[in-house]
Amino acid sequence: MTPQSASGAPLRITMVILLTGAAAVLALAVWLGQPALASERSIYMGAVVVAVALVGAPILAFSLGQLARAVESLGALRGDYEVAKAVSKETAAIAQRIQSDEAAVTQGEMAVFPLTAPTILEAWHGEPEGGVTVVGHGHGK
Amino acid sequence: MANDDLKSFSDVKLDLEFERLDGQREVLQEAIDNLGPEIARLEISVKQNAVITGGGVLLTIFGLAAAAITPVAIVGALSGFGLGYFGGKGCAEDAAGIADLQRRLNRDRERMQGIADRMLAIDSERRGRAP
Repeated sequence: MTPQSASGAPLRITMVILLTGAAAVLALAVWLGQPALASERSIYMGAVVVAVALVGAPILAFSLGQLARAVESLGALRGDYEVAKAVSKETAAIAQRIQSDEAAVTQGEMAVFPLTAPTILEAWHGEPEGGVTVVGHGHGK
Repeated sequence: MANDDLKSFSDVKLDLEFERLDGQREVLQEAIDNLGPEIARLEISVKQNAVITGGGVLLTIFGLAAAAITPVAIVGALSGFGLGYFGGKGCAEDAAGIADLQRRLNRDRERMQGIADRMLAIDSERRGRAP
């Protein structure tokens, strides 16, 4: 769970309250500042403006809250992605190193093999009479 | 002699496990690499929705202010309200997509970390067996 989920709800509520209040105050201020305030049409229009402000502002505030949440999550996601890439790269390096070590050991064994070959032959053919090990000369018996 | 055979068998098992882990690592690495374009697409989407939402909020405020002067401006305010609503809806979808991507990413990262740890364990086990 992302950390912003826990603190996001109170932030959104605060934004809704602030924006609703601001929109209502703005609409009322403009309406009251009109010279044609006394006219009936202006009164109705003002009522419509305030109603739209009161209904629309919370939804717009919610939209802004979602936007803030998306932007914040995106930043966290980018950070996580960089970390995952670093872990991936590190793991690839570990695998490469282990494989190189294995290859080196195998090559080393191949290099050692000619030295061990006489021992194998000796085991196969047995020690010749007289106690002298002769490798590669017949059966040695 | 029997003990040596047992060691060899264990070494073969370790080799096979290492190969399997390396295969998993390659698949995971590809999966993690493929998340890059998805993140870039989400970034663009969030920017677009930010413009729509911001524009909607501004249009609503100006529309409401102008509606006190001319009633026709209420149409602008309502348009801004709709624009802001759809922008917010898009942002909510983006946020859900981001959360999903983050879950997948963290799961892949944990698995990759597990593979690295196991590989190191296999390596040290092999070294321990080495004569």
